[in-house]
Amino acid sequence: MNKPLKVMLVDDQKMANFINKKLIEVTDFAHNIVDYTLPEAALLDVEAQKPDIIFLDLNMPIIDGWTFLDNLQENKNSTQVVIVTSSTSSIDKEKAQNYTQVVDFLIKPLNRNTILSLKNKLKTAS
Amino acid sequence: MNLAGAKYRITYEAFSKFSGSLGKVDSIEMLGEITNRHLKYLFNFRAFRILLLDKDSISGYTFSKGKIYAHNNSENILDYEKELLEKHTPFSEPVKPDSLPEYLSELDLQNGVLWGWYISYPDYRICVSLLSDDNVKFNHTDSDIMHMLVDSITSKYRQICLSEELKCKNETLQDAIAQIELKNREIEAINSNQQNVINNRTEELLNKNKKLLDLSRLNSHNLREPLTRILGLIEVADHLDNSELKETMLPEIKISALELDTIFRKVVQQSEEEAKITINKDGGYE
Repeated sequence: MNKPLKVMLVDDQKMANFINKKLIEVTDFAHNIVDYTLPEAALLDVEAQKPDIIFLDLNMPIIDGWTFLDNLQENKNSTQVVIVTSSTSSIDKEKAQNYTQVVDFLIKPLNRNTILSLKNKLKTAS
Repeated sequence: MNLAGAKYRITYEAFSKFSGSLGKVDSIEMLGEITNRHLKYLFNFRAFRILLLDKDSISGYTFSKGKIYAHNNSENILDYEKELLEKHTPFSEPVKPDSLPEYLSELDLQNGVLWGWYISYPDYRICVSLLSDDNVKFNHTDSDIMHMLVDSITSKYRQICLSEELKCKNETLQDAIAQIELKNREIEAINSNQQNVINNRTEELLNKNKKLLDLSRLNSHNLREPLTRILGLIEVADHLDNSELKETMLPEIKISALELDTIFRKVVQQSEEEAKITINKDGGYE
């Protein structure tokens, strides 16, 4: 069996984290979920939490998703990141390809199927 | 025989010197001076006068007692010259005192004789006249050398006139070239101005496009974000119990829907403002 995952959710919208948490639970994607509405707090905790994967929103005040990724790179933290955004703009998707630790680019709303595909994707990759 | 030969040789040498000096002549004044300097070595005379006429100008010199009198208008044509121009007949006759201009009246001639010739060239008509007297006799045999002199003066005179005409045309040409250069610079200035307008306009368009792109990106997120919350909630609704549905889901859907409404209004307003700015700018350009 797969080893159980630990997921970190970073989204300034509390409700978005709530929804994604539910979906992760019902798809049995991970056993351990920590959620943050303040990206700066998530950055401070990421070394201690050691999540296997981070669900990252792009449009956030003060520290947006890109700054968050830059910060991870500066700290040589290569935790896998899944971008979860409400933007359908292709510019963001292209930009995401510049970050090697970004393993997927998902457009909200997530549903069971998107989570399950991600699960499969990660399984075949590892 | 010997004497004639010697005279011929001396005259020939004098004429060679004269021809050599002519080479350096580059003005009507200098032509008079050089002729005056050499004339006395070529033949005998008390006064020598040459008048050159073309379509629209008159030039001439009178040489007497080492002095030069220059002539350049029709009032300087003497009565016997008018007759020569009309009849073309050469003559030699005793001087009538009143037929001479004032500056020749002091010559104190002894049985003075006035000689006159008319010579025609393609571009010029020439009147040549000469005064001699008992003391300074002009010989018929000297008329050959006199004709050679007139030939030389005339061709040099023609050369000077042509080169002056050329100089004048060159100046006109230079003026024209300067004008063309000026116009070219004006055209270049207009072109570069046009280029600037195009550059500014292009930059403006690029800025506008960038703004539109930013707006589209922002709208893509801002508009969809509350919507994705509503859709996400519906997605997980099956897994919520009744109290969660009532206490969490419904209020959240309401909040999200209201946010969505506010954002819609804002986007419409923004687009209208952007369009107004564009219209005003375009209007201001004309």
